[in-house]
Amino acid sequence: MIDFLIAAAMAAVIIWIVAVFNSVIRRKNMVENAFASIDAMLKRRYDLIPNLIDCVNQYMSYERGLMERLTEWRTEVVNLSPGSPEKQSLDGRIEDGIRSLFAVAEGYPSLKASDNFLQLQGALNEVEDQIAAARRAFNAAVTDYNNALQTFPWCVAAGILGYEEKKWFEVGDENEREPFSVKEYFKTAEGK
Amino acid sequence: MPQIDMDSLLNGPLEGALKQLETRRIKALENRVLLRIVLGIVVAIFIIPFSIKSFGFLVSLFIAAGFLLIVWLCTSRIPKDLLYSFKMEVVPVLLRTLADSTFYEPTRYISEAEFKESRLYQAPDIYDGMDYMEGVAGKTHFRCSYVHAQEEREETVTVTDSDGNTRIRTETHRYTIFAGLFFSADCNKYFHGYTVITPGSGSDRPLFGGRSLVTMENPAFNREFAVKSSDQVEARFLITPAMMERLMELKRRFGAFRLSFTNGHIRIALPGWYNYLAPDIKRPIDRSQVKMIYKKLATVIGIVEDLDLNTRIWTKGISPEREAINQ
Repeated sequence: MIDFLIAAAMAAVIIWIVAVFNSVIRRKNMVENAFASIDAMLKRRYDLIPNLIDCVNQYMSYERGLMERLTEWRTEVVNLSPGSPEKQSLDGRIEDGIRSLFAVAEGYPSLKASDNFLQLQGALNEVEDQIAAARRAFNAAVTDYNNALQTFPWCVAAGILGYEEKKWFEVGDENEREPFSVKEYFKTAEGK
Repeated sequence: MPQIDMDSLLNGPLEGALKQLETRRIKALENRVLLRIVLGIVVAIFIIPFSIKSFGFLVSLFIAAGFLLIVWLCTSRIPKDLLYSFKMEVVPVLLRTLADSTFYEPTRYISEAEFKESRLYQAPDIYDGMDYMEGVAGKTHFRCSYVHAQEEREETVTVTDSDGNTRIRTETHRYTIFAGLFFSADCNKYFHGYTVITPGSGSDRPLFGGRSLVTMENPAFNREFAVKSSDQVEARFLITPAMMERLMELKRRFGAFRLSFTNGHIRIALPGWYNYLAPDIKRPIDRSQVKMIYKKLATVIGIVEDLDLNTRIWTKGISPEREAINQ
């Protein structure tokens, strides 16, 4: 009877250890999965840029510089590895560029009335919201993962597996925290 | 949303209808008094003497009091035909001032299929409701009704008879799953999975499993609601920080509720709201009653604005029903 109880207790301990390890691995996979979703959303944004440029090209002949920069950044960013600081910085610039383009479009009534432009604007608004949601999901997954790494018994399993804490997604450029100002954009454009 | 002055409405299309309804209400009250007197006499002449013979004076008093209470309660309700007339003559007029392409039918209700599709509650065994309405508020199509969903449970009961023999009997009992207002509106964003928000903290999730639970960034929101979703990213796409604030504000105004995003729609289940479009028969059917019902109606349709569903800056655009009106 005692042997049976010892065997049962050992089995319970083994099951518990396996569950703890699985839980840590699952959390790590969730972080990776959340990171992959950000990348998928960013790809959707990159795919929309050529269409946007094509659409606005015929109306905004005076904004060639902005469109050329956007095209250039887009070509550059697709070749960078996901999560690299260069890619994050370029993504920030692309986001700003798209916002600038929409701000400039305010001065072109015929463009604003175009169905194609409105559809693209809707699609980009959606992608931007999805990117924001994916980043929030990523941060939530990282919080969950980091919490596990700092608490017992998960920290033991993480130590054995060699897992390290992960960083949250943060706004890279301090300027990105500020709301976009159309007035400021035009001031800068005039200065150039 | 059409804007119509309430006073011009009360002095115009509703004036005649309200006068007629008030005449009928007075007549119904007179009939009620007459019915109560007749039934009181019946109790005094037949029931009390009969029950005194069979059960004694004290018990018969209780029987008579019980009978009179039932009579009182049954005759306190607004007569069905008067209620139907009020709803058909007044509510559609009020509804038209708050939305376009409106439809109202007091005896209809949201379909059981839509109730099940919402994932807000389990599938009911018995389902009914009333006060179905639909329309387009701004750019958003909506429909709502009062819904009463019940489940039937078979329970075994041990019964002992006068001889002391015990036997087990199976009884079917009905339990209310949900009784209240069910509101469904076209969501302004496209989504594919499901996201359900229920009252209560999401922190009570089990140690293992519970992977569909979504922990939001707002701790105040997490204390008040639990979110379950088939997709963590989609849940955050739908429940933005601004939406969390709106939902908390909605809870402050309406009390605890459930909300879901399923099949392109946002569905809300608000407990209570039984017969909220019925007038109070004890008071004259006049302007003040109509204004009160209008206020309730505006509160319900105002959910569209409360949740900012008319902001259509994404790919989904405006509801097809709105597009049909524009064309």
